[in-house]
Amino acid sequence: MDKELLLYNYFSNHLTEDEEKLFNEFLDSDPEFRTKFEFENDLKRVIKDDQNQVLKAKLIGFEKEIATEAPVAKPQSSTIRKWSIAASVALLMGLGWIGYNSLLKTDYENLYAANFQEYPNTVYTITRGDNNASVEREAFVAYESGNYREAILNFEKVQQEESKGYLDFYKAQAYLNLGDNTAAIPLFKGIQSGESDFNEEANWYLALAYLKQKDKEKAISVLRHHIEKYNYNKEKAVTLLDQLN
Amino acid sequence: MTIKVKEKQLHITLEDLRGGSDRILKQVYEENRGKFLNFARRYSLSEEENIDVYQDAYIIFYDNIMSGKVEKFTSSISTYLFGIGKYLIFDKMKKNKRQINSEFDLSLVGKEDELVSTIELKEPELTTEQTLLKRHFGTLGKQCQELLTLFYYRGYTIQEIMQAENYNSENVVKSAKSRCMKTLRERIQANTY
Repeated sequence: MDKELLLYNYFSNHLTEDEEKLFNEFLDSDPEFRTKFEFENDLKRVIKDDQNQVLKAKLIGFEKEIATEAPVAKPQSSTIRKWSIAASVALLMGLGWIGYNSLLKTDYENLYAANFQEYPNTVYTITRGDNNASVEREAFVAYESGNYREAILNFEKVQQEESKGYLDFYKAQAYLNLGDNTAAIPLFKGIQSGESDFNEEANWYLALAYLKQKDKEKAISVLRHHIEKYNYNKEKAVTLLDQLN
Repeated sequence: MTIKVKEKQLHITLEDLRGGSDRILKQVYEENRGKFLNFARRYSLSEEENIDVYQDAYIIFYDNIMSGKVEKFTSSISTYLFGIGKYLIFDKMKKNKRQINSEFDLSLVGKEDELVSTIELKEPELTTEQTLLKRHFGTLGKQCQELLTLFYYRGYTIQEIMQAENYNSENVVKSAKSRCMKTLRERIQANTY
């Protein structure tokens, strides 16, 4: 068989089993073939290195853009500011006490929406060609596809067999996604007070669950505890606490 | 709100990423950045180091798509990034000689092993010969660099290169490739001897 074609098929990932055998034989017995192969293999490595540098430069660029895109308060011109103050005063007066009162009310829904983000599956890897049809796999597949009810059922099945620290955490996440805070809260509380890898996260989501329930007092208390003890989402916790106070 | 984000992520296909447009690269970078940094904050690295790790994980993930090691997404992009990132964080912490947080449950590392085993994580530094080769590769004409990159990095076949770069026939691509390789060899020899 044509040696050039063998090399070509190797580098385009198209070697058949027979060709692979032949390829390895040539590598062992034919020094010229080996030199050619090593040269191309080195070239492949070098081009990859080159492309990685290009990509790294791009990513650093994205990072800079993110930093500059971060909201910066633009100074308003004084005329606009004067008018906007006047308009605000007029608006407040016009709305009267009831309207004024409702403006000061905490907008729980929006605060929750602005802060809630589903915690991704970081514990169970669903790999390609993975035929392992375990219940835990099914649970995480369901979780990743947003089938939270099915995920909960499967998490519970796994828990009947063995206890793993993170199962309660993901079950609570699933409940939170379904809007069932009453079920999520005791789970987060349990994780937060126990020995788990997800203590900090559980505490953050506990605060959000209270927020969703419009239980301002408890949300504030959990957030204070969070800022004092944990680093996870600390900045967000500080901002949220400010907005609640 | 979350569901929307999820749908948006699902729309990004392997082909989109292989295409490598800046818009897609940036979208994937931004969509997973916050989540990743939150996750990385559990460990003892600085924010700057975490961003660096995120970028390196992103590059490794991308390389594995290019080399065909990831043939289809069976997990969300963030799971891949977290898996690789976790490995890189541990590696960096070892290098920094910081202790692994005792609260960290080491049994969780095992869960990522499956993914880590399918992914090529780290390669040795370039050898002297490779460094020399890299320098000479940089002196080739733009067309040669592009052609060789499409073949050796992006995994295009000769036919795909013909279509992508508007060559007239596969033979034209083949002889162009041979010429580029010949020039490269000659330049290296001229330099070495």
